[in-house]
Amino acid sequence: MASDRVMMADVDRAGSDDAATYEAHAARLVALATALAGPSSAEDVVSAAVVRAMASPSWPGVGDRGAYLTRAVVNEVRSHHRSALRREARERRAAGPDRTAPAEDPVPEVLAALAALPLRQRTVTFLTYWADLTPAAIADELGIGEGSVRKHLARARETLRRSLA
Amino acid sequence: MTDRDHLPDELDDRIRGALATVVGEAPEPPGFERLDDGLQRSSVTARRLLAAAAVVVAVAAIGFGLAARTNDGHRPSSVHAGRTTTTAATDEERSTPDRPFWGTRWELVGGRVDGEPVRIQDPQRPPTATFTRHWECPALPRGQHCSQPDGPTYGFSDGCNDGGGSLLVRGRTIRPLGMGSTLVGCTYPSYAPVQFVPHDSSYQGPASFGTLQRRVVGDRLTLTGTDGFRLVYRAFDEPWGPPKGTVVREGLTTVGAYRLSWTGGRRPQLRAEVADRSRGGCNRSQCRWKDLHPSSLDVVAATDSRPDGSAPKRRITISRRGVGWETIVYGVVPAGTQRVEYRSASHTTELELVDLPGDRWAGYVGTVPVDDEPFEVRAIDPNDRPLSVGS
Repeated sequence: MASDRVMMADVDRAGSDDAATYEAHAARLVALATALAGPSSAEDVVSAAVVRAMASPSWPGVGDRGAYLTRAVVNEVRSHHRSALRREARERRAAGPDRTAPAEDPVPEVLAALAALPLRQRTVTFLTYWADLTPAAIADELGIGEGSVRKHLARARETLRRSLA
Repeated sequence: MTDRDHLPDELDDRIRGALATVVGEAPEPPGFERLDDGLQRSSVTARRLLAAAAVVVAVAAIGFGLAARTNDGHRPSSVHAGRTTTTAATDEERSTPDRPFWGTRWELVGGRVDGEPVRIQDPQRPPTATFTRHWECPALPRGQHCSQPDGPTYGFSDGCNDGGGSLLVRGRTIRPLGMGSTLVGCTYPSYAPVQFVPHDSSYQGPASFGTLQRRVVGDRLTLTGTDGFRLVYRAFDEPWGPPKGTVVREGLTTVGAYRLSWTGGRRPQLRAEVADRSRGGCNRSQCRWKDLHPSSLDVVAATDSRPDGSAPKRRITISRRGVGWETIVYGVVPAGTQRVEYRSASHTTELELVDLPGDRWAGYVGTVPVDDEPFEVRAIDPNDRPLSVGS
């Protein structure tokens, strides 16, 4: 994630409320991306998701921009994960055993169980347990029906109950 | 409403704790000005952004493995000119890599509390703090139950008393929740309240803990609170130990059940838990730990001194009203130790060696006569020579 190159960006802030929208949701989006994609990818995921969302022609007409950005982050995690899997496979093929960094700690079983959930179930679990949202609020956030939220959450809980029993 | 709609409270807490652990490692959000100029509504499709941000050290990411990396610091500088902001992000090598906040033993070196500089009373026994991402329930025998949450915890020693509690983490903000500690009378003011509670709070029962901001630069940790509250720590390098919570030994003395477990992380120490069976309501000779209240410590005296060249050690004296007193000595020695001796002015006793996971350390434990005198523990190698442990 770290870059060795110098990056410069010129941004004209005059008249833009995008900055205010971003600042209002940035920490929450980074927390979501961290939970779904890992800390090392979170910043990239959020940056790409926000750019993609705000550059969309439909952005000016979006009502609930916070929820829109949440969905953008989840979608970006999905595509990021696919490309990350391909990259990791290439790196594993290239790296020999001497170049593999040793794990500092074993992955706790709870985190491993969460990681094994499908992305949608993991998202709903995060919004339930971390953001303390109700199923109705999660439904608004993700743009899906409340029944779907309850179904995903129930399945996630069942999986977690079995794997952590 | 079916069982699938709810999980047991304990499992809910574990999930919350695990998510708190992960989100605690979240990086700082990139500033808006650093986003790509694709936000200028160009026709170019959004491309992957280049981030010149710090690399997080050794994180516990959900499902994406673990890797230990050092932090590279990047200090963007901003120049504001009229309505345009130009931000230059440059790489900057640190002479000292940032130590991980989690698992490092931090020694207090300074700060400011209530407008006064913090003074370290005994440089040989500085106050310390350790923050652990998660508690791993040890592999207990059948029927025993680990009640610790899977969330972040903190531990501290002020050179006299020690203790710890749960930790709430939100990004760079931490908030100690509850605290249990030993209650040794010290000859100098304790830093336990200074470190984690308002200055005038009592040890007894829950206290209102402050919210602190954490920042690690190199081998220094700074915790800042309100009203100018600030504590500065230095990382203390220690070799690896077994996973936290590893049960080293369990025993039943005449005054109650005790359990020695590893405190985890990089710190070669054992931690004793003593439970008063009478408070737990268990009348059997062997009680399950879930029947007992781990917080009902009945520790009368505890010492944890580190003379040069001696192994880190601890001695506790436990008692139960109306029954009696016992003293247990326990600690860690290098794996090549042949035997361990306890020496005070009045007593010399050989202690029992205990296997620990891994090949670097062994534990020792033993019951010794009640003794308030200074004591020493010697690790002896197969050639009958004292082993040097170092710090």
